[in-house]
Amino acid sequence: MTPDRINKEGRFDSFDNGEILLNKKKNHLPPMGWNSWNAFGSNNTEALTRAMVDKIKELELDKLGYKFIVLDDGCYKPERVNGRLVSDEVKFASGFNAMSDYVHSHGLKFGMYNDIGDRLCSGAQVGTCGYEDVDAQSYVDWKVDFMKVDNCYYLWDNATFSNPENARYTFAPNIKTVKVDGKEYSAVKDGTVTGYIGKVEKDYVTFLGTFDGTGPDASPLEVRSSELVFEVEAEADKTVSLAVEYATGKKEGVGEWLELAVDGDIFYDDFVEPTESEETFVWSKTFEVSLKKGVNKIRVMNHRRQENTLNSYSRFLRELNKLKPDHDIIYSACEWGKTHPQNWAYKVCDSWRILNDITFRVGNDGDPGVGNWKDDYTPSVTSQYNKAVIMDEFAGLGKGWNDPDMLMVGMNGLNDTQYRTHMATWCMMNSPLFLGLDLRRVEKGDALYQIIANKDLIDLNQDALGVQAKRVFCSLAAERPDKEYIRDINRVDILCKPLEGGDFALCFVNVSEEDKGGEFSVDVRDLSKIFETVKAAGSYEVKDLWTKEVTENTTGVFTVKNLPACASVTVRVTPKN
Amino acid sequence: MTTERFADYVIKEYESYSGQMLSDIAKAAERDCLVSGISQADLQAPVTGKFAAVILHRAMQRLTHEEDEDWGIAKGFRDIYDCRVCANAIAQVAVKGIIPPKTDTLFGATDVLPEKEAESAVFRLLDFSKRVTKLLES
Repeated sequence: MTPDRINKEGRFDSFDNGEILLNKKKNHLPPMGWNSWNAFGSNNTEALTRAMVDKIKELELDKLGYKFIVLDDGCYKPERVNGRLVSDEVKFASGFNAMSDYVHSHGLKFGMYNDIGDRLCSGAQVGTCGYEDVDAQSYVDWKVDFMKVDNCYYLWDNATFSNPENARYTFAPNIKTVKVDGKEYSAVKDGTVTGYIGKVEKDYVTFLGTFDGTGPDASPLEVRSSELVFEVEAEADKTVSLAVEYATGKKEGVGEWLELAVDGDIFYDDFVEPTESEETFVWSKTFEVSLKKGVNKIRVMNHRRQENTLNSYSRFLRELNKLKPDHDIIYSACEWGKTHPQNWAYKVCDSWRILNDITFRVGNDGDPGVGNWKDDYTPSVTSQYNKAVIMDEFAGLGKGWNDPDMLMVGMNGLNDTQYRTHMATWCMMNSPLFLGLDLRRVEKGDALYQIIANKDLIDLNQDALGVQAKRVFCSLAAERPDKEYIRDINRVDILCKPLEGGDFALCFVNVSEEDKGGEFSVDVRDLSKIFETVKAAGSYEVKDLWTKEVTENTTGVFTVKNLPACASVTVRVTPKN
Repeated sequence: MTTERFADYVIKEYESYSGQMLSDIAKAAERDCLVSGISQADLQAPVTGKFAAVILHRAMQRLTHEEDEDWGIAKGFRDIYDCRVCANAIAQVAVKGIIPPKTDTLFGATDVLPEKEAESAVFRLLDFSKRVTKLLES
C-alpha cells in the first residue's frame, strides 16, 4: 500500500480557502455527552455503559445537553470476523446493536470509536484503514450518531505505535542543489527556507516537512511546516528541465517523499529513489516544467503529514456519505494535534483534538483515575488550556471546534476550585464537553453535580452565536494576549465570549497555583473594539455564574479582586439602556 | 516467552504465591481480563515491555489490589507517551520497581522482554522484597 493521490482540494495550498469537503454538515454546536475513556479506560463494559445511561437520565443531564454516550477504545473484539467489526465478547456480549438501542431508547445518542490506522490504540487489529466502506456500513447498521476517530498505528506517518520509519512519507529528502534549465542553485546559498521547521545543515537543507504538534512545544498559530523555495526568473513563457540533488532517510526530519511545484502547480508528488545514506546525495530524474514570464517560485517540499491525514479522515466520511447521504453523524478527529488539524480538519470534521491526551492515568471501575493541573507535557488542564485559549480563530459554526480533550472533573489529583475553572474555561472555549467520570459517584445537588450541571456555564458553551472566547488580557503577554502562546502558568487571564443578543461572558482565570492579589479589570470600550456584538451601554446586569449573584455595573469596567490559586470568576453581562 | 504465556505465567505464580487456587472458570476469566484487547498476533508474539506492563498493571488492579503511585521518574521516559493506552501501566511497573527501565530516560516499551526478565518482573509484582529498590529510592 502507498498513500493515495491527493486532489487539489485536499492540498496544503487549499487549507485556508475555507471550503468544506464532502458536504460536511455545518452549524453543529459543541457536542456534549459522556465518554468511557477517562472513567474506565479500556475496561468499559456493557453493564457500566448502561449504568451511565441510567445515571444521565436520573440526574437529568440530558436535559442540559449531555446527549452522546461514546464507547471509546477497548470495546471491540481485537480481530475482525469475516472482515467486519465485532463487539468484545466479554465486555459487550449483547453486541453493539443492543447497546445502541439501549442508548436510543433513553432519548440519548450513541457514539463509537475507531482509528485511521490499521489498529486501534489498544492494539486491536480493527482500524478503519482499508476497511472504510465495510466499517461505515457497520456504523450505519449500529445507528451511530457520533464517531471519534484516532490516529494510532497510522500507515503514512510515524504516529503512535506506527513504524518510526513511516516518517519517510512525511518528510522530503535532504536537498543540496536544484538544477533549472542547466543552471545550478544551491539550497543553502540560493534557496529560502520558509516556515518553522526546516533548517540548514552543512551544505544542504533538511527538515522539509511539518512539525509534530502532538506535544505542547509550539504555538498553534503560525505555519508549522517548511518549504525550500527558489525564485527563478524567466524572460518568457517556456519549458525547462529541472532536477534535484537529494539524499533520503526514514526518520523525523528526512524522508523519501518529495513534492515539487512551480508556484501552485505541483508537478511531482511521490517517492524518490532511496540513497545510501542521509548524506549521500544523488541527482533525481529530470523533469520538464513550465515557467511563466517573470519570477517563478520553485517549491521543494513535503506537506504529506497534513495532506495524508486529511485524506484518511475524508475516506471514512466519503463512505458514510455513500451509505447515508443525509446522515448527521458528528465526526471527531483525535489525531492529537500531530498534523496541526486546526489548519485542515474544519473541511471534514466537527472537532479536532489539539494535543496528546489530557490524562494518561485514566480510571477503572472503583478508581476515578488521576488528573493534573500542570505538567510539562500534555496531561494537565493547563497544558491543554494554554494552547486552546489562543485558537479561537479556528473555531466556529461553519468550521468546528478545537478539542482540548475530555473533562477531568471528578478525577483524583484536582480539587473543587480546579474542577470549576476547568469546567468554566472549557465552556468559554466552546470545547466539546465530554464527562469522563463514573456518574454513579454523582448525586443530584452534590459538589460534582453543581459543576457538571451548571446550566449557566453550559449555556455559554451552547450559545447559538458559536464563538469561542478570546483571551483579551494576560498578565504575561507582551503585546497580543489573543495570539501569544504562553506556557508559564504563573499568570492571570481574562477571556471574553460574545453571546447571542448582545450579551457577553467574561472569565477571569488565575492559572497559577498561587493566590493572586490585586485587581484585574477589563473595559467594555476596549472589548467593543475587538467584538462587533459587544457594545457599550448605560448600565449592565452582571450575573456571577457560580454564585448566581446579580449586580448592576454602570461604569463598563469589570473588575475582579484577589483570585485564589487556580480560581476563576465567570460572569454573564447583559447591557441595559 | 509469548504475551499469552506471560499472562498465564502471572496467574500461575499468583496462585502459587498467594496460595489461592482459582477454578478453571475463574482462571479463564482472569486471563481474559489480563489480555483483553490484545490481538491474537500480539498474544503469539514475544512479550514486549509495554504488553508486560499492561498485563502486570491489570494484575495489580485485579489480583494484588495495589494502588497506583505518582509517576516520578517515569515522567522522563522518552517513550512513555508513545503508548497512550499503556502509559500509566508502564509508569506503574517502573516506579514500583517491577520492570526496571532501560535507562533513566527510556523504558523500552517496544523491546522484547527476555524470559528471565519477564519471570523476574512477575516475582517482583508478587514479592515487594524483590523489587528494584534503587529505582524506588530515586
